[in-house]
Amino acid sequence: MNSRPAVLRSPVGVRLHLPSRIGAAQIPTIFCLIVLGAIAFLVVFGPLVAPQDPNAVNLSVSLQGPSGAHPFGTDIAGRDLFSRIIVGARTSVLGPLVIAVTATAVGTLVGVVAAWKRGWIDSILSRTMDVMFAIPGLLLAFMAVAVFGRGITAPVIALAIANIPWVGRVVRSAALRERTLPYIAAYTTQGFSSFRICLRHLLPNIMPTVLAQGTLAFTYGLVDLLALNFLGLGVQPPTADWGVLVSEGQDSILRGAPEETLFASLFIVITVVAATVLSQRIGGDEAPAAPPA
Amino acid sequence: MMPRCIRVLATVTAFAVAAVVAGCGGSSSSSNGIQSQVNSPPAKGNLGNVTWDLPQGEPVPLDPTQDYNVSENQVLVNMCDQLMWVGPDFKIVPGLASSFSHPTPLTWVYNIRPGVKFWDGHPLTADDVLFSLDRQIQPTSYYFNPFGQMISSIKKSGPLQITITTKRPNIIVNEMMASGMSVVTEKAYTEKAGKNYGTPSGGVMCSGPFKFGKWVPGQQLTILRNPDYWNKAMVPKVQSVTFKFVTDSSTVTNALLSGEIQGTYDPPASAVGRLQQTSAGHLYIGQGTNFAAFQPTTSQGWKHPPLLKALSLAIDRTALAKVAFSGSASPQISGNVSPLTYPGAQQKTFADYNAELTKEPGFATPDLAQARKLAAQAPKPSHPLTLVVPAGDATANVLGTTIVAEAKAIGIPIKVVPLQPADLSALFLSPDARKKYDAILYLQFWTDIADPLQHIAENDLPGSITNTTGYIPPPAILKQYNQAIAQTDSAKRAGLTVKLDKELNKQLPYVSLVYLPQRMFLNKKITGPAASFPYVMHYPWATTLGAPAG
Amino acid sequence: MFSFIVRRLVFSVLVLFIASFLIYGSLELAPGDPVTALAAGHPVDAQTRARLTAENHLNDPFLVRYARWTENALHGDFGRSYLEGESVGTLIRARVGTTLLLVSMSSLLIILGGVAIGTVAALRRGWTGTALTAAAGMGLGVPTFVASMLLLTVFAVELGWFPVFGSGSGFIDRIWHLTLPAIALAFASMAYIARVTQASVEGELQREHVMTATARGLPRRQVIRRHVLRNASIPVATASGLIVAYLVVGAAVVEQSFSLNGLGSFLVSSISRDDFPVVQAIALIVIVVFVVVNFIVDLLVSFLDPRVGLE
Repeated sequence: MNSRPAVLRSPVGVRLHLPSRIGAAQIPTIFCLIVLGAIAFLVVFGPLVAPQDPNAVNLSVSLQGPSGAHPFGTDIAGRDLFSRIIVGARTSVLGPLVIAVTATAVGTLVGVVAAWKRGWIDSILSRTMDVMFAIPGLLLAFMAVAVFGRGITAPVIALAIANIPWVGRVVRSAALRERTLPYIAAYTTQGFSSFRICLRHLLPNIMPTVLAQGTLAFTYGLVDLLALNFLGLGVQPPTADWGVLVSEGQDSILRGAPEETLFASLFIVITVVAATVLSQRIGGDEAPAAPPA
Repeated sequence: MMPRCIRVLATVTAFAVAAVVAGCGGSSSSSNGIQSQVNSPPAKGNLGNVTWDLPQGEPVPLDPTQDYNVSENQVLVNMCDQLMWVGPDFKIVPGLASSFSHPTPLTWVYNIRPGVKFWDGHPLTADDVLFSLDRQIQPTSYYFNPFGQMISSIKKSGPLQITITTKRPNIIVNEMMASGMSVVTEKAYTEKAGKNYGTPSGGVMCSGPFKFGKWVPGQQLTILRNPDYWNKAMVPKVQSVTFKFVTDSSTVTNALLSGEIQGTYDPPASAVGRLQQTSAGHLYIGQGTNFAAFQPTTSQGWKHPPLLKALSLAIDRTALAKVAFSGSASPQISGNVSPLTYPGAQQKTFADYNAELTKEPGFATPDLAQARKLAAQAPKPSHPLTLVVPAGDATANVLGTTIVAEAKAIGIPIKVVPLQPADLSALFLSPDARKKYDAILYLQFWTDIADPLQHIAENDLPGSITNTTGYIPPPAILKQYNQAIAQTDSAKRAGLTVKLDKELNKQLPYVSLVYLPQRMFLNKKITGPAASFPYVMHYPWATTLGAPAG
Repeated sequence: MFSFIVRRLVFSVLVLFIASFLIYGSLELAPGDPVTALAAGHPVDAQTRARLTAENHLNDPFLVRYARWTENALHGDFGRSYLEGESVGTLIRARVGTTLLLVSMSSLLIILGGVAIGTVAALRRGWTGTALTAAAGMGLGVPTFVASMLLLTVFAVELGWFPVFGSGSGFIDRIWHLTLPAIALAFASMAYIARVTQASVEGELQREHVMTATARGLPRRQVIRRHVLRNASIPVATASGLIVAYLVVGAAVVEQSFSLNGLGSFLVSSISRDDFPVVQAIALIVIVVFVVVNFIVDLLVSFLDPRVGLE
């Protein structure tokens, strides 16, 4: 599928758009970084900062609306929703993070090696990636659940694998372009090893593309994993997870208490939007490389 | 220019607020007093099609040997006649068998109605009955086979007569002839269809008041009025009934409120409040043999009797009934005798016993002090005990979560393990699969007949399929049980049953949680059926459906 | 051109072959005894075990079974569902219509809506463009299941404008039943196509021949139609091909939320019930859709851009 052009093509001259001076144009980037930073804080310290035990059951305060004691209200078993959402950040975000890091690392390696070596190695790697495109990530995650049973580990591995070609393809194009630049030839003539040139010079120069793809892989991982949890195939209750909370809350909507579903949805949307916008900002305003699931 | 991120967030928030407002537009308050209302007003007029939901999901093949769950029986009973039926008041009424006799303590003789025809016009003979009963006692009929073990022979004793001989004097076998065990299908058709029997393409061939219409897998199953039904009084007033398989509780509720689905047994417990307030129809909370139970398995986890007793005392049954079932449930502490109106002469004995049970410690409020004391007597489990709950079920989720918290309060660590239906039925059917877990939460534990003895036969005797606790009664209890099932006088039998149940409760093979009367929702355009269980499974209830006015 | 088509065809068959092998092989890895699965949890005695083993040729080597499965699948025979006892083909045929219509409606929304939004956003500077760009950015951030819940709650339950479940009967009724689900399914992908279109149109606008054409004084309308949109449509077509194929899987979430009985929800429920023959069949269908759609897109692209075939 060499014939896939511009969608998968980074514009020439992509550079990190992080500025030396903070100007008005950087406000969205900074805002998204703050949002994601806050989420990251919850991932690390969530259980410590949650005001209440997220699993403390109290049937006498079942399905209460937001109040001082329970800022987001309570769920049907009387558990504090604010604490459940805060603690749920870890289960919700950690999996996608693993997906993003793995897919980016492997994808970058594959992309750079393919672009650098070219020839039959490039052909094999590129064809393999082409075949992998045929299996949507969510389908691979479904298959993982079918084979290994419900849980989070198998789908995370499956989604990491499924995201590799998306990263690999874009990184390969970026590296190919970078490789033709004169400075690479200069280093080669000076007798630097390929490994060193790639690691010290080529990679840092295509870093914006890599980071943008990594952030995107994170959002797709997040959306796919939460969908899996929403469908009941991933994380299981009583573990607090945003996808699980959205689906658990459906039953409470019937009882006139939409808080659980709504607040969990809100956190999901905020996280995904912040990550998507951030990836556009660091990667330049190009189109995302992978379609959403 | 407003930063993109902020604008996006503002829009999202607006979206969320709109939805909150929309969500709050619904109902909120719920009432608590259960007022039992079994019967809906009788139907007066004819109707075209009625849409009915099966919240337990699409039937697996409608082959009677595989039909022991609510969805399958609820549909099949309207197409396939049984020898006898169970009325809304739990009384056993004649079906295909016009009468039966009990000439000797070991024999039950059933006289088959003459002139009954299958839908294809073939006459129904004793051979068809013999064939059908014989299939049900084979090992391939997993659920009924244990009852088959109580039988020594089934014989054709006349052109339209069947005689069943039991191994010991046993009234349960006769009662089971009012269950799915006695469904009669056409021998020739069934043999010819083979594996396809009861599937969407194979269909069934029976003699019931509705014919098999069209089954679109995953979507709906339609049954059609049989105008030539042998019982003219029971020829349906509706042209057809279309069963939907919507299991999601929000979707079922919304469809009932909008009238897209007109009726269902077991509307979601979470929707009781909303369904009580709607003008779209009426919610009936009737009676039934269902209850929720906590069943230990054969693993070592609950081997020390004080531990289970402690758990039973720690559970707040009143709160569970109120919160998890929106008040459409009430505490139940005996696993075998439910607070329902038993038929006939047994009622007084069981009613007195039920009144006695309400005074048991732990019935209405937990006795935490005593529970802690008992729990301390048993060695503390080294690892959290696992409790299997059905995955994706909101009510089970609340029940499981609450039990974990209440057990934790008395020092028993429990961990919930949600399992999907396939794995759950494997647990139910295979002792080896069960051993991996310490306990199972059953949301719907029932008997086919409103007789506590049937429950004991199924759950407290070795060799029965639903005895998932592996409980083996001591010889004294077994003797009491054998005396009870031999007693044909129902009042005397009730007395024996109560004595037996008291003994069993001392042993506490499992913990019963709450009594679940049968719920039923009917759109205002339809009426007729009763909210009673096992009536929904063992009576052609759809024959009572019709319009409220003529 | 001809050799290009042949190459694509060969590649498509290769993808199908590898993917089908992976699908069949992966479920072989599933822990547990296939006979137990075949018996759907029922206890198995020696006699039943022997019968099920023989009936399903379980003693054959893996490759023989794979070959038999593939051959039968080519005839539309995917075996029998463990749980429902019905042939998988029948069960799938009963559901395929819903998913097909849902995915078609969604694709239409995605491509028409996405292209329109993206083009306008690229051509119109100022607040229209910014607003559309922002809307697309936000649309990407709303997961399908969240969109489903919001649409269902607001437009079906509270406002009562649309039915709350099911796929309807008759053409118009079906469209009406599937409108909300199609929008929910299209939401994020439409935003994606809009972004692709916008980027691609913006890219083309800066190309030399476009600049030259504009400088030569050709009417802007004509420049855009002839030079910009034609070239910009290539990446959009490629991206759409990927999206449409992925929609079949994405439909699982929507179908589950709206209680539609399509292939997606059937896939999810079959996974829950360990009904492997169904899972294998639907997974294979997804791959076939992907390969076919992308083959068509490749042909389309090669017509739009004759250089493609020469690579």
